[in-house]
Amino acid sequence: MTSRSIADRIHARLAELAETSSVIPAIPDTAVAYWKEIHLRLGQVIGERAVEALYNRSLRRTRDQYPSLPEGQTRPDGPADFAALGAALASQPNAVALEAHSALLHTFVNHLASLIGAGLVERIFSSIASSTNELAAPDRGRLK
Amino acid sequence: MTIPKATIRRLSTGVSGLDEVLGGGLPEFSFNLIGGSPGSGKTTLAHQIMFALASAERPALYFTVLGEPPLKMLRYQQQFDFFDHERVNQCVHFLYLADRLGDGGLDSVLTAVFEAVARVKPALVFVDSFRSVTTGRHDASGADLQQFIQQLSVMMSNWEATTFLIGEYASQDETNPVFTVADGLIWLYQTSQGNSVVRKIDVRKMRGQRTVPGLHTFRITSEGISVFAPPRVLETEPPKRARTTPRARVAMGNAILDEMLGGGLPEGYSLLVAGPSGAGKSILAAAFLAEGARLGETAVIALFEQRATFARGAFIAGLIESGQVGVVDTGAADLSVDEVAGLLIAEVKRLNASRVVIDSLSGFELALAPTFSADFRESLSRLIVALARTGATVLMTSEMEDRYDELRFSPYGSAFMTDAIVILRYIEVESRLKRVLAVVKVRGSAHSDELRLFDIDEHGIQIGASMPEHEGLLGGRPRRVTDVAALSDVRGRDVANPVEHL
Repeated sequence: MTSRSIADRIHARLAELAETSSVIPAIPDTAVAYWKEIHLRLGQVIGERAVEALYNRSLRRTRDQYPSLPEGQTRPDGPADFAALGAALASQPNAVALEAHSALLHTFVNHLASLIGAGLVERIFSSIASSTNELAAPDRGRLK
Repeated sequence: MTIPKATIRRLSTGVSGLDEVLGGGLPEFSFNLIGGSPGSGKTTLAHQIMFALASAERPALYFTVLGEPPLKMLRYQQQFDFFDHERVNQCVHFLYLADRLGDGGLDSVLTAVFEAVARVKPALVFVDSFRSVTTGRHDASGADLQQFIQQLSVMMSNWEATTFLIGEYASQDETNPVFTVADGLIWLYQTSQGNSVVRKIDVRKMRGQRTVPGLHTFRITSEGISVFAPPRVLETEPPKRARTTPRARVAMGNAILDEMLGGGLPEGYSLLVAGPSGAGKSILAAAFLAEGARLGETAVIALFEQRATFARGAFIAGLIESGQVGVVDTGAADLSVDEVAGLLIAEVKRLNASRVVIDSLSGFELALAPTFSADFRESLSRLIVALARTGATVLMTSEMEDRYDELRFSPYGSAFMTDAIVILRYIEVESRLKRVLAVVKVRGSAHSDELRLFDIDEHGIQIGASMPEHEGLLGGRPRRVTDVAALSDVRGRDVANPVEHL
């Protein structure tokens, strides 16, 4: 499925990072950078509030299976706390953090796809993926 | 040496019928307002135009503000065939502005628009909904609303962007400064009457070109919006010059009827076949189509009552199946005359058809939205004129109750609109229900004045003899004249009953 493929690609980059990076917070930092980019790019199209609502809902849904993830905001359109996500991922072993993050990303993308269609999600995320390609490069100081 | 004037290129909107109403398309770099009430189709129209025009060389930028939430807008607009998600973020860009509006009002919005336009360099800009940008903001931001609009207009023109502001304006709100600044004002309406909903579009202003004034119906389907321009606009061929030679005659599929018409129906004429239910109108129409097919001609039939494949026998069904007869099967609700005219003329042109059948005008009137019933006669006249301009010969059937206390030859006062009229009637003869037909009119041509009996059998209409020994046929109770000479002799004398009732 196309909408999954973009989430899979981001997950693959994070997994690659986990194997190659010598910097311990590389995965949480890169994941947070992705989410900030998603927030920015997708927010330009559907509005930042809408992105935050989707993110918070995705967190709450994924947290049932991965309790280590932070709680979403109680208000559906409350601001997205990506720092809390970074901290939660950092507190877990790489493998667990990767799995939890992948589940969160898939939930988010699938939820968005159910609203605007997988094709359009792919189009919007393709610009995010290309703009964040460089983020996947390990040991980038600016992520710290 | 002549210095050339500025030429305004016109952009094809991709909305069927709209270019004609606009007077040839949208002027490039124009500053337009699309207005109307919620649900009238403004956002759909804007998207359809955007996807029709956007390309790599002509990118489009769609600003969403506080109108329909973008998630919903994107969700629903995708249901239309024109929405091509592959072009999103390639040549179609969406940008949400509401957050900027909350931060700093009009100035902030203007800055955001400037930044985005400078980055994307769009040739097409849409602001949806513009009213939400402006409502109550002009004082708070310190920028006068009119100044804001003028700045936006000037900026877009300088950027050579064709711009559309989409807003929920009341049509009476003509003091709004945007109306003055805009080059084009396109208004959409939606009216309800009972269960009928009719959509109309009005191009109230389009600088530099001659639009078609008035309200024009449109329909929204999965393909998007289709505007039904008046038939005369669709016809681009110049009117034919006055004829110096007689028209060729069109065979009706019945030799005796051809003879009664003076040698067939003159080519390009419109014929009204009027009569009561079951009298044989549709059978006559089927014979007309079949004869055309036999001669290798193509035809179009517009059906409002019977199903083509069931009612006209296997032969006509076969012609439809083979494509020799095109069908305009108007199952859609709330039709307008212009919509039907558009469909018919398009089909006539597609098939290069020489014959058209409308079966029947009575069903056609019933299929129209109630709002069009009031001016049905005028609309029908436009339809007939438009069909005549295609050069096709037209046969229309019409239900007309037999009335034996008055002589009527057509319903709707349509006798003067058509070139020829044939009436069918029931009469009582020897306690049997018989049918008669007569040619009432063939414009500019001699024709029979006989009332002829006819029967219907498996081969169609069989026209028989006239009934010279009877009179009072149209009164429903014919009388046999016992002795014509005696009748002539006794006239003028006080003879109460020179004929005997049958």
